[in-house]
Amino acid sequence: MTRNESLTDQIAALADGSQTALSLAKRSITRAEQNPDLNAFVALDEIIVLSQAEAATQRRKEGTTLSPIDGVPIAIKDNYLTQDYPTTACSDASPLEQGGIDATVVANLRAAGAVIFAKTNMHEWAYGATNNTSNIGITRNPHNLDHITGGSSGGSGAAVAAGIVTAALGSDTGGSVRIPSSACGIYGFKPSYGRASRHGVLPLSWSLDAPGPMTTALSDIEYLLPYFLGPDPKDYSTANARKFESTTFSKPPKLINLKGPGLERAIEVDRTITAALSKVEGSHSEAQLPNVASYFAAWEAILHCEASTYHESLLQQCPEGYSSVTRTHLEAGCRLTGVQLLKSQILRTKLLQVLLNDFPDWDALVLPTLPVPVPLHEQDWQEFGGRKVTTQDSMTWFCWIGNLAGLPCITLPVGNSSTGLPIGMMLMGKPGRDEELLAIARKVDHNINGGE
Amino acid sequence: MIVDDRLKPTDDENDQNVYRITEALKRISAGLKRIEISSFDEPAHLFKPEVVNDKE
Repeated sequence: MTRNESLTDQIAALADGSQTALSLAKRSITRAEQNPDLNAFVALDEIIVLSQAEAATQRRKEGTTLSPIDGVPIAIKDNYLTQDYPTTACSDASPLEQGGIDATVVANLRAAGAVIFAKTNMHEWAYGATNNTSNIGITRNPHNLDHITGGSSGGSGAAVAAGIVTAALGSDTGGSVRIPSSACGIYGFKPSYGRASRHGVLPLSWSLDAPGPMTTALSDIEYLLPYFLGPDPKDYSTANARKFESTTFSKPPKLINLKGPGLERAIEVDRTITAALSKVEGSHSEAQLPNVASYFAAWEAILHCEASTYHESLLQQCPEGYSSVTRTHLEAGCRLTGVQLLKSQILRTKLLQVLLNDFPDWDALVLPTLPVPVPLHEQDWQEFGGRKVTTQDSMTWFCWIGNLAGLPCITLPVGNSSTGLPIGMMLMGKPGRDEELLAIARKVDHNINGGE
Repeated sequence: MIVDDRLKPTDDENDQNVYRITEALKRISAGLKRIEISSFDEPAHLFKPEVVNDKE
């Protein structure tokens, strides 16, 4: 696939008058209609889209433009509450929170004039990373329809990669922004825990969840992060959150490539990451993260316990509304003990201490975003590095680390597999230093992809 | 293995789901036992990354 127009390009086109909000909206609608096989959208209403676009076009004519993104169409994952569309989390178990209000991030974007374009397909309740479990059916990868998009924000990934929109919103509990971004060959950013408001995003696991942007170009993320980061009185975790402040990173970054038991990857993926890293200016070293299986168990226990708590009432009221695999996950949380949960919370702190205090000095930690090339829909298992794991587990193989430790993370496309599907590289920064990570990613992306 | 009979998966999916839940619980139990926790370690009551000292 050739490089798609980016949100940055659209901002420039709106500013110089070569496009209007209305022309962009019409083009996005046409492209969505041309790509029904992707199954990227759960709700797209032409009237809703065009009325927003007409208002944005009028504002620009009158010189009352609200922001640089005024008039840009942005798609929204179906677990964000939205005024004008229902919110289903792609489940038949009604969340009972349909319509009425916008999630904080959606409200911020709407106030800036963004055109809330559509709701995107997702893995049911975000409780999975393939996008093969959804009440409207599977999502297909624009690079090859036989392959998964990854999930749980798979519809957002497909919509951006297909050029229907230049940016979409995702949410990330164990990689759900980064996994489909990597599989679809786009950029995805998960903010630090406590810097981005989760208000109005239906939770999977409160202490692991983060909303994040998925975009065509890295520069697009810088335009969107101000609408994510900062304090929100409706989300206590953001009480001390700083607003976005763009920064630069002048020195060559110190990168640590994480490897070792529990962090295996397919040879093809490792070669691609190694080749990409060889182009990056800065110091490179390798380090082993000890006790990966224990930290992973802690992430999984917290995830299941928090999800089962959130769903306890609805699961009793409407068990038939859930897919059987989602019900199974929710049962797992009911079977874990208080001791196991508290031990997991201890390990969460220990992991962060290991990363911050036991490793040599670093600016960013590096991992492949996925350990394997993007799987086919029918592949239930993946074999790599002497491991045989379910495709589901392979998708979150590395990403959960960023959620358990609350780190900011970004995925960049860095190459293609032998099957022509994208391979992504993940950078993880220090907690709260989202802007610094973005600045490092700009350098790394420039070295690898030649952008900006 | 099923917590509540109302939640029982359909027959054709049952074996796969029971396998999934059993494996997940075994994996969590084994993983949490494998690492030693000192008596000085405390759980993150309200997880706040900024309270953990950065050596910088």
